[in-house]
Amino acid sequence: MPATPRKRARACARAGPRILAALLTLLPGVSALAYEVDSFEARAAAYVDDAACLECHEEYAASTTVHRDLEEFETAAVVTRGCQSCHGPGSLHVESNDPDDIRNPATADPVVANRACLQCHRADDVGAFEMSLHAAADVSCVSCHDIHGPQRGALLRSSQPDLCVSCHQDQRASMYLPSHHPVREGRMTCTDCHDPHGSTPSAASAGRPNDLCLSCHARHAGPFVFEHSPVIEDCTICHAPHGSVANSLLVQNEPFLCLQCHQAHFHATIPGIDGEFTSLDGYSAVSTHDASKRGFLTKCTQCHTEIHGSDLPSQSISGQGAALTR
Amino acid sequence: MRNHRGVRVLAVAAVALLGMSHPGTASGEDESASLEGTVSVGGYGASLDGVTGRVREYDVDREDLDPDLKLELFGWNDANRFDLRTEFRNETELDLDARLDAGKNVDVKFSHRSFYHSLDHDLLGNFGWRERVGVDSLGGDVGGGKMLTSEDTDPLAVYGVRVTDTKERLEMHVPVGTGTTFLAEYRNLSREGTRQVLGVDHCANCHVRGQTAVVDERMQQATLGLSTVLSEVKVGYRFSVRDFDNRAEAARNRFMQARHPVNGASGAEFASRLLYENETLEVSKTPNNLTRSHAVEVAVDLSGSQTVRGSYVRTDAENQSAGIKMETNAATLAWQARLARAVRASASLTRRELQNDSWELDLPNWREGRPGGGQDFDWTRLSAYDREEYLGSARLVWASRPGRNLRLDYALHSTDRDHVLLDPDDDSATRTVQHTVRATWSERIAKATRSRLSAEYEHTSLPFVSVRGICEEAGSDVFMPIDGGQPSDWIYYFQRERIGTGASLPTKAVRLKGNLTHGFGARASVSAYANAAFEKNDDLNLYDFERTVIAPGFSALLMPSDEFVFATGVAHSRIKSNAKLCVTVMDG
Repeated sequence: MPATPRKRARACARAGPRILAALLTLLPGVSALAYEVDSFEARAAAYVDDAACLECHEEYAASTTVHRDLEEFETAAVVTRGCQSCHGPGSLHVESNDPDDIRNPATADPVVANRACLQCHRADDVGAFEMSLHAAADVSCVSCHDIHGPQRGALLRSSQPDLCVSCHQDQRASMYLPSHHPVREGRMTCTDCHDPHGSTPSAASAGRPNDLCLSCHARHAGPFVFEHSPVIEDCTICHAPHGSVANSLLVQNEPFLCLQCHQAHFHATIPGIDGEFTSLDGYSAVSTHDASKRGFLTKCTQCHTEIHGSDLPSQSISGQGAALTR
Repeated sequence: MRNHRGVRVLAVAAVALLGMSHPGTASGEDESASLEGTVSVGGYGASLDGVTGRVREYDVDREDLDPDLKLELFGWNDANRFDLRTEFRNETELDLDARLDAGKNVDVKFSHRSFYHSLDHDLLGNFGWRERVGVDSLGGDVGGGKMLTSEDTDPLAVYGVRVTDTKERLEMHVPVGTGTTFLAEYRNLSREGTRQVLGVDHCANCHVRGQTAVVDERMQQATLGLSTVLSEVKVGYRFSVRDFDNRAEAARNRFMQARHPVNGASGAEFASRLLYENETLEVSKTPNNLTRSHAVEVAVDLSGSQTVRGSYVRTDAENQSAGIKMETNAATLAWQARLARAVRASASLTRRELQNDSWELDLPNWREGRPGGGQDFDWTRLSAYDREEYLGSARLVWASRPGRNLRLDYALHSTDRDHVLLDPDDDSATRTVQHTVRATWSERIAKATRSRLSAEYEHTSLPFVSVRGICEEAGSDVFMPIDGGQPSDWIYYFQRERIGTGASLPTKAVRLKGNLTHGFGARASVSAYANAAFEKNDDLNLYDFERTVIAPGFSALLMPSDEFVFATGVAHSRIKSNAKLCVTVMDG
């Protein structure tokens, strides 16, 4: 069975650079739409020595937070170092002691709070956070991260999955269904699959369909000689990733899942004898009048074992080898 | 695999070098250095009766009392920090997470998880059928030709795999310019153990055979990346390679000799309908595969909280056993901005194209040399992967005051498949277009009470369906009875063509979500939620597909201290869907 590689035009390969070029052309126009967010920088405040901050906020003097001692190259040279890198220039606040005279990300508008973080973390993987569903829902960086905390883990306020399911309660319920990914057992985390910092199509997710699932379940990556088209289309047509009652995270049990798209097996309606029998090859079994239903309508994958795809042909010529039984 | 080893060596070498360059971390010479840690000693055990495979899917299937040992260490001085957390339960279950922030330039993370995953063992107890072709004069059954049998060659086997997942990540901040970062990642995910392999043949009778097969799979993934910030522009590039290696020998199944199931005759007739018989062949063989990906990303910060991002990704995937190659090209453009004090907006568009090799199948003719036979069943497998997709989104957020937020979302997903039929009456109908609109309202009702409501409507034209997947129609016979001339050559092969379209995806969907949370201080809260979905596909030719989901729930959280968390909840989920099940007709 020789391969016949298709040498179709790589139009999409050329489209990418064209889109990026168009983006650069549009920038001056769309920039006029923007609204200036942070008014603190516009005030007449000036940066002061951090020691002035710690005179009152002595609880942070012994803090081990990594945010205290950053080098200039780490901050992309857009901010000063220390307390005021996030809180903005503090001279007015030092003079007045008025909380309104300094930026406080914990109580500020989420956009302002996030900007304080992203001015440095723009260069990280979290750079797309402002486009994320979390940001749109006014979940700010400090909702999940304890910025003054010690440099442990990702400065999360609590560990996964507790932190995530404190809001996503329906997913916590799914984790307790009989079939589930090992999240509540601590063998996986929510962020193994989800990117809390950005759900707009990113460089990673814009690749092959289902690539997120295949990054662990690589045995199903193929591409196979004999395909099962819903496997290619979307894993979630058949699987519920957060948990299900049916085995293997199936959205419903076999054969009902399969019968939504497929005909019941043609042997299933043929009546059987009531009694024991032995085949020519010496296999003995007991049949009943409705045994064909039990045999052919219990679990399709007992015979169609390679439901995710296979390179090996099935036995029947009339099925053209594509029945995914081998 | 030299690339992968190279990345791993690089990561290990970097850690070693940094350890030498910062001896103060370990020796405690620095007066400001500190080390703190926690050791926890406990036990873990379970006692279960009956079928425990599903309950203990991720536990070793035994009831011994295992130790549960935890060690957490955290150390730092002015320049370096390290964080270590490990948990040991038994020889199969081990967790280890470590992070070293060495100096100002290097951040190294290492994680290792291993656990047991119990796999199903099907005892094949539902097989056992012999066709009844009539009733004798005494009213007894007369057995006919077709039979269904099974055997489990290893009925006492306990199947499962040990999953081991090791990740290493090295991030180097280059002290040249600003925001320049080099990234190297390596991952090794392996599954080792045994599984059940089922082989099915229908030579003399349908026979399903279960046997034990070794699982020995390893997936390695390596990523190299470089990103930098040039004024307001961030530019990044990543190369990733993922290699799946199936190292286990494939299971083999004995396919019986083709012959009449009752009298053993007509071997040539039965063999002429099969691709293989009377031989032992590999079954359930997972091919090796390799995926390479290049990604370029550009992000531009504009004045006034406005960002534009663009990316281009090319992915090449290959089935290394068969030599099938697939190429994906994707480009994304995304924009977000704050348009007014209370109004934010974002939009994105992705275009993706997939091209997979087609595959020519050269098969023997059906019933070659037999009376009425010789039909050509050769075909070319055109891939369902081949497609052009557009994914678009637009979002408008109106935050009228702190705690109140109205979000309007629109999403477009257009998929034009080259070879998947979506309408039985129109071969040119290949494009699925899905529009989704959603409104979400978040409101802090009181100081300690917040709520969220969302309503979504989705309309899909020509969703992915199974055209001619269900229900036969009289008069649409594929093969008619064939008269071979002699009684022993008469062939009855009668199968009607399916005419119905089956579906599990809707054309119209309404989805509603709501939740309400009330906090009692910072350490206790109660929540209630309800999700509902009403989905329908009324574009099918034989029936209307419908699915209804009702899922309310309640939960409570009490956290007296950081170490003690009490959570409880009740959730109810009811999902109801329908399918068209037609009585099948086949005689062969």
